[in-house]
Amino acid sequence: MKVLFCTDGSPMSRLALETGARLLKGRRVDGVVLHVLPEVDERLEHYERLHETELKQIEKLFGEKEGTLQVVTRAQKVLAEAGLRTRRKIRRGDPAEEILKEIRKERYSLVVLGSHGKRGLNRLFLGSVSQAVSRLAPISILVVKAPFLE
Amino acid sequence: MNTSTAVAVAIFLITYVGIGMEKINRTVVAGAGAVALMMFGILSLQEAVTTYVHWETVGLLFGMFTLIVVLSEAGFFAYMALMVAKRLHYDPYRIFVVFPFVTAFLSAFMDSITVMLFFATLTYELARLLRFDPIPVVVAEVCLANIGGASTLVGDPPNVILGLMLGFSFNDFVIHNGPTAVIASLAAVAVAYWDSRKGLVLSTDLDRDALSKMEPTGAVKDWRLFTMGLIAFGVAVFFLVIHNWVEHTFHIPLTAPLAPLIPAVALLVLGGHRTEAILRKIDYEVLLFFIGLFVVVGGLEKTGAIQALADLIANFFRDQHLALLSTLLWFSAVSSAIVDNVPFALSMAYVIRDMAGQTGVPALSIMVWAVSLGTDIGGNGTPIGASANVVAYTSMEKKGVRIGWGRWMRLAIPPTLVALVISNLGIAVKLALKFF
Repeated sequence: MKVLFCTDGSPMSRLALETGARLLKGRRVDGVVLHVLPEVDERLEHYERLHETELKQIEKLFGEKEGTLQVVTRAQKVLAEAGLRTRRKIRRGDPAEEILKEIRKERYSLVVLGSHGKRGLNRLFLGSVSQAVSRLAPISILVVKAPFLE
Repeated sequence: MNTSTAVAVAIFLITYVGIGMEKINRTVVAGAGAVALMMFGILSLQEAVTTYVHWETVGLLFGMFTLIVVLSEAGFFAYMALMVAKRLHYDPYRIFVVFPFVTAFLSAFMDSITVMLFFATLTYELARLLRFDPIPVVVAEVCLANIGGASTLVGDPPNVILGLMLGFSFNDFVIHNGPTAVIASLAAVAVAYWDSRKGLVLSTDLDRDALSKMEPTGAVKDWRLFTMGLIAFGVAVFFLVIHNWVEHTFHIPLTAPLAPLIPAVALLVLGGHRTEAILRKIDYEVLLFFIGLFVVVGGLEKTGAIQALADLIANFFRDQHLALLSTLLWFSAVSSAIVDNVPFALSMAYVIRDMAGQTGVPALSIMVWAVSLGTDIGGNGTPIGASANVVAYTSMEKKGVRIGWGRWMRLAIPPTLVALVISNLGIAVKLALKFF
């Protein structure tokens, strides 16, 4: 069975991966870990380049964030511990739109994702990605729920 | 309308729309507009450079940018934000009220884009540790940064253009726009706080360990540069305050652009090995954008298009001073919320200069205050209304905190409307008291 695991590096998406791994343990799974990067804004990038010294200093002070590759590798490791072998994919754009594009492109049987991700910090849009995917995806979705974790 | 006027107007409109669409880099669009004017023979390169590019504005911006780069390289912005957060005992409600005032104060003297780049980042990081919703705080910070920017000559690029092109000093802006900006800031924060205080705190389970490690001094990368940068910045502000008096009393040409340029050049000379890095990080792209726009709007001025528009407005509003001033303020505000406010301010500088002196039209100074307040504050309305908004908005989106146009406008429009109404009342009072 072909399964799409979505991750954004948040504690909620880690919980979703762990739950998915537990439920699918021992099954023959052709897994794909998908991470969607936000759209790059030219003007923001320009100013970030100009002020990279202080921004790096802030990052150091608040703890460096995981890079894209680290997020995906960590997700693959969680799944590998349950014996699930996965490939990785990275897309850029709106998370819900990109997950739906990926679902339409490949023949997945199941999608696993958290009820809210990094954007869960914002209560108003709580679960906007999972809501859009479960409403519009033509296949089964496993939306893992948990108390507010961020 | 003769052919050259029509060509100049068409090139201006294409440039304006091109900048608004953001499909091509705005500096490239402005540069292409300038070159097109030369290709059509409206302006020669020499005429563009010697007559229409306002080098005082470019010089002042270069000086200010240099000082800001030095402060940024030293770690000033993170130090400032963390020091304020610590003094507020990391209370999210106090942060919500005080941080916007800090951005207003800093933006009155510095480029609000840089202020918001750091404050959006730091507010997000603090929100993560203190478990509060960063969105209403960041939107309030942007609103106040734009309102604060209205209070001085160097607070916002439109003010630099209006002030230097039309001969108004740093002190003129502080005296005439300052009180309005302060009252508008207080009201805008009150509205924002009232609107969003309920859903602000998401959890009371704080990461105390991480907070205890966050010493503001840890944000400073280079104490020598930090001290030098602050001294140079203080000197620039001091020069801006006294330059008119020095010029008139001692006949020393300490002009407004020289006020930041003198300490900026001193820093570059004394910077040693750091000078190269500082020079590399100055925002030359914005300076080129301004140069291109000066030429494009210069084409309108040369061909008489601006004079025709000025005559039309003056005739329409003849002897209706308050109606004209209110229209200038609200039209500037709406235009700035939709497209970049720099080309708008530049065109309006010529329009109100050409209107001033005609019979039945108010004095140039009060028209400057109306356009300046409208242009600076109106930019709050949408995520693209000002560069500071774009940077704060996209920076939050990049961190995974989705704001969306709808939520931005719902949070930003009430405080903006209140600030604009206060500005309009301020202009009416000034007109009644003949204090302009």
